Amino acid sequence: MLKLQVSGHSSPEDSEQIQNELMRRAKRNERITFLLPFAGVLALIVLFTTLTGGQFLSVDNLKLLLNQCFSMEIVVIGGAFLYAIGGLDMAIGSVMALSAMVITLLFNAGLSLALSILAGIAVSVGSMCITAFVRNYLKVSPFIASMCVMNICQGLVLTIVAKLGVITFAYSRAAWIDSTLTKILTLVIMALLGYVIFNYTRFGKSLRAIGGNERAARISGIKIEKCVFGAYSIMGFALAIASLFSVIRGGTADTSIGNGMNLNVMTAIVLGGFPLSGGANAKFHAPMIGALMVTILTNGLGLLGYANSMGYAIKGLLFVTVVALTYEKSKGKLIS
Amino acid sequence: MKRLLAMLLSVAMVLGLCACGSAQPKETEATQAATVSAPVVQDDSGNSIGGYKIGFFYLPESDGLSAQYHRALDFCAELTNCEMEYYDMMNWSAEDLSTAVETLIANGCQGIIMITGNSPALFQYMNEKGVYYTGMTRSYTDEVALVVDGSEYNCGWLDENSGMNVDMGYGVTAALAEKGCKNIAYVAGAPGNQMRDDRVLGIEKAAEEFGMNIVTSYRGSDFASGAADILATHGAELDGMVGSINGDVCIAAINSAGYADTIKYAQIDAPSAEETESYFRTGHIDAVTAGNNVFIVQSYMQLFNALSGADRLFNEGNRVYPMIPNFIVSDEEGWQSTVKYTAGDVPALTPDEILALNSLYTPDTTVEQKEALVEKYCSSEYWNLDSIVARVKDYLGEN
Repeated sequence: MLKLQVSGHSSPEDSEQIQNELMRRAKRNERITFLLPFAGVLALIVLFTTLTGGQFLSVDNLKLLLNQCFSMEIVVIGGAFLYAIGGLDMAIGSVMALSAMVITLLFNAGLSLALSILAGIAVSVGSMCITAFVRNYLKVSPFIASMCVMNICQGLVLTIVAKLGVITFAYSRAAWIDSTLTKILTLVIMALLGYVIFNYTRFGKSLRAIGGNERAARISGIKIEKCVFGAYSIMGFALAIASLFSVIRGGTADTSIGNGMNLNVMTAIVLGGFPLSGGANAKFHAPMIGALMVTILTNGLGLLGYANSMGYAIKGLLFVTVVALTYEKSKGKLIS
Repeated sequence: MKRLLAMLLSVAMVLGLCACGSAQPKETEATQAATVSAPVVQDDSGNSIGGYKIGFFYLPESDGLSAQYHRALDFCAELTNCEMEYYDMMNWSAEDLSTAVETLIANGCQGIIMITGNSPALFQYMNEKGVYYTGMTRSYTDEVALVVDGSEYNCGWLDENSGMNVDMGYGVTAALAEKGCKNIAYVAGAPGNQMRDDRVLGIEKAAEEFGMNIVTSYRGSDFASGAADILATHGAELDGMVGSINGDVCIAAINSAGYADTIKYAQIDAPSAEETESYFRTGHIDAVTAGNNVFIVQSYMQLFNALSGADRLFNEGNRVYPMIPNFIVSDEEGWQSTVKYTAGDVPALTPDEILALNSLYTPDTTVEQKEALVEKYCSSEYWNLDSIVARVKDYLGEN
């Protein structure tokens, strides 16, 4: 509680003092919010390194960590743009599955990898833009719209699988994609591009303005509809890239691709300190740190010999704790 | 301040949970009802055979079938002086499957039973890490074949294409036909998976042969909703239903819809042992398959043969080996015998039958003779509930 001696009526000096105190507290909270996820990751690294006798930081395990967090990291890079406008989306996993299906079918049919990937991107972006269209012009909640897209994509994948049976990716023709170097390069390039676009372009700033207050953003001249399409398109692009690596890792294109990704992304977003409703406090790096935290937790507990179910329990506890203490209740409902 | 406390609390929680158990994976438990005994076999250097760590990933033990698998594998591990490491699958995405295998290998597993998974990248990883693996023919795709064929670490593939899954679907549907069902529905997993598709093929084949009418069906992942929809729209005209699912959601749906007295129900994979017995008693279930755990023993022995340097069975060509089939149980008494003598602490195969597959324990028989023994295990004359119960009772000294 702010304690100040205020006599009778407040003077300009008192007002300035209150103002400075509030600013100081706001900056301190911002620093803590910024540092907290990093501190969390560091604490987990130290903890698991100690408990596993150094095995956690071995080269082999670091490669495993990269494999295990890669798809989620790529998805949350796109997710940063989507969640900056408060776009809670349930279709992420299904869109990934459909994109993986398209890439696999075309690549297996003899099309070049590049064209197959482009087709997958087109399908993925198109699917996500359905939600954007419904949000912008039909004024339906994006959460509801995304559930419809989820069903559409899932239905298409199931129909294709029912007709064609098991669809395996031609791994022998593209095994190099699964290499550590390819993954590191892809992740670094996408992260850098995403960081620059999110923080240093008008588009990125507009997204956060929309998430903060859409009406104010519209009044200030921001083209809401275009920015929304942009955010969903970037998410679609990220999903297509993630789906390619997932289908190579998984071997077959079916509904198992992207299964559970919706909740994983949401967990990563929240644990990283990224506000679910978006806005000015949305930091690009936050979901990536959150995704890393989730993966470290799963990997570390696995190395300690605990069943995966234990990891879910701990992740759930962390999720509830972080949401309860960091969610801005004054912003209103979680789902707009 | 509150956020800092939250972080510290979270770290404390993690520390507390980690301190709850040992850092080492739990050891396998000795069987209680049966004394697992095997002669101590030594290699040329005088060291006891065994000491290997074998990994297995499946649903948590709260699932009835998973519990059977765990018991069977623990039995085999105890018998052969080895250790099992389990990874509970909460989600079956491609990523989770790869994570499961990678984690098991990181924890020192020298062999993995691949109950599913057809990622060439994963098999390549196991080859590179020198980890032995065995799987089912559902995993043996053309792309996987390019990676595993000729690999030292490939311990073979259980032959699902022999029609076992078709027989399972056929058997439970035939059991309903014997009970007078004419208009049936079925609930099964989404198409595109060989096991699921074969089971549905079996159901449809039996329906055609026995003159049953398949009124409707559901194939997807939300079994509860699928069953509820079927019953809401066609419940009044149905007299039978088949579930190619786990758990008891169909039973619950039939009960909730008020059709427990009019619709007979058969399920391929039985719910838990206790629940199935109760459902047989109350008439909520009319037929299930059993003996679903035995193939896991076959997989284990394929791995153990390779790890121990013993003669490897079915090691030619594609390395596909026959799968011991299931059998149908359609009454409470049969189920009680099944639970006690095939799915309890003794997994339907006695120690002698299991060790007869390893040349270090039974050096007097050739590879061909051992392979013929497996074929014998697969025959209906040898593999039926009465014969199994008799053999296990004899082993337990209950005769």
